Amino acid sequence: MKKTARPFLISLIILFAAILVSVLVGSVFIPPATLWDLVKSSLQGTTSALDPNGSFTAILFQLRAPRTILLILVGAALAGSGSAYQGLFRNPLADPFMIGVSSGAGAGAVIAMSIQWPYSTLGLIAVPMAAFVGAVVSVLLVTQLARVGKTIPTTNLILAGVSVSAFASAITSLLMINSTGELRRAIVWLMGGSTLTGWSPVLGVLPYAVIGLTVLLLTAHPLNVLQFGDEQAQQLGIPVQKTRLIIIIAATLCTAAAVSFAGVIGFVGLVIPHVVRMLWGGDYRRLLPLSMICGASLLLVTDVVARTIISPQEIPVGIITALLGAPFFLWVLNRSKSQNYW
Amino acid sequence: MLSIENLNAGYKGEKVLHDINLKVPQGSVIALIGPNGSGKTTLIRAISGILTPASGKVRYNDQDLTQKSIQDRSKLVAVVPQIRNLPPAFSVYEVVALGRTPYLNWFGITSGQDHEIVKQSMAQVDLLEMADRNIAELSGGEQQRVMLARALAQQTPVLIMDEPTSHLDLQYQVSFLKSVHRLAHPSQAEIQNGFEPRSALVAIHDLNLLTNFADQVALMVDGRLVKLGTPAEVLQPEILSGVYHLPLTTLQDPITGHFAVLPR
Repeated sequence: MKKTARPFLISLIILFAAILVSVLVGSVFIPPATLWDLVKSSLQGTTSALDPNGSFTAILFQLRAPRTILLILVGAALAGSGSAYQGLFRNPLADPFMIGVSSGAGAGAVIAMSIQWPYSTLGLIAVPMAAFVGAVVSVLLVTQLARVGKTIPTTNLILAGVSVSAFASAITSLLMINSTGELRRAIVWLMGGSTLTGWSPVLGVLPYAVIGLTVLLLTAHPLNVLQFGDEQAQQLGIPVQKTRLIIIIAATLCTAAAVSFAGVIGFVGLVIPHVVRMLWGGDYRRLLPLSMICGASLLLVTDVVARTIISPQEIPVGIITALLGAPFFLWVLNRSKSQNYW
Repeated sequence: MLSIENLNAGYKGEKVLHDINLKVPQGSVIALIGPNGSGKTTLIRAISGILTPASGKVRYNDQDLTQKSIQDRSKLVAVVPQIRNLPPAFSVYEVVALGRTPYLNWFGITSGQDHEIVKQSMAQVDLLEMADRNIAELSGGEQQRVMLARALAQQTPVLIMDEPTSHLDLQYQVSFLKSVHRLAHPSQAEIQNGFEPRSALVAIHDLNLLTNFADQVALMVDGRLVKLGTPAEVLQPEILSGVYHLPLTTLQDPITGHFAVLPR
């Protein structure tokens, strides 16, 4: 037990720091002392003396707090599903973005949006549903395309992922070019610019993310056994087909939830599980929760960068994760050559 | 005792195993030999439940294994796999602990008793000092012992192995097969400690080490069991030459009485 608590402590401290930065920093800086006062006075139902005109309060509670919570859920969902896909396919490159699930979810969401405007109440339910359907269709397509007999070779998985992803993106682009007005905004959303503000997207993502992440956390032990291949898993008493199905559905639900409310954000699901595995080992009972915590932190930090780097304008966070993620991944890969962590 | 009765099995229309009858008594090691494609791996897959037999029975004492759930089956039969594509970043302890899976619920929560069994299993194959090592850093021989310890942690009366020594050098082959022999023939001290003799069925290509560990040798040819007997009975030049389509001769070590098979 002695060694198991430390990784959690470290990653939770990082997450706490990331939350603080995310809440305080932006085009308007909220001093830490003011933050404390704002929280205290809002709990008491009074107006803070440090914020007489209420502008800080509005920024904090209507913009930054919901956005922070949304990104925590999305980051956890992306990193959690990434580590689950990697374990499920026994493939270090599997990630919702790489294997086309994100693009499939994006296409599903855009199809729903082309029928229903994104910010209506119905959209809040219909968009993630459609994203989930799109994601499920993609993951089924990719696994069927990549399968050779009973195994799914790494290169096949990535090639199938790339082609399904390209196809889904083409559908998305077609729909967006054909439309006028509202749907064009989806371009920014698709690049991972969470243009959705306020509390409604948080409420929208919450049920999907909570269900998906909880189920994933409960599959940690079967995922460990599946690391040794289907045959050995079965010889160890795991009902393989059923277990795989549960994990795929949970991971895909997480991805769809993330994509529906924050767009297609790549590399979080790839980089985070690798880093966690390198630092703290491959046991999924640690890997899954730690990936979720660290995924949330990474997305919060990249979002702060996206908001501030050319402030007051915002860059879609997906661009920052790709800019950071791709070279970081190469560095990880290079470092890992000597370390046998995959 | 593991008994295989009139077993027929195969893949999609292609029959591989024909009327196999084999008994593996408790406390004995049977080596399964035969040329490539003779059906050794198929037999192992049928016993471990990966492959459903077309007809016939696989029994442990009076329990029909083919009627059991895979979880119940994995409490009776453990398979020591070949070491290929081991997953990354697992410690020896973590891998051996996965052997407790048949006894755990979905969440895989282990008890103090599970921990003791895992430690005991590692001790049996001299892995205790490596408990915290990353399996990817171990030698092939050590990795194979990890797989054996995982199967031991399953606490099954029957152990099945598919070419467990194929990646090992001579030293590790001998020490691995000795540990297998010891599991079926525990010392008096071990029996007094409550250790039950296991039975083991070991598919193996190397004919020269059979007398080092096997009580009996089962020879398979074209999906049929053609000969069952002691190593001395099966390792006869006239039997093996026909099976392997090669003129062979058998030599005996004058000191140990062990047999070796050489091409002429």
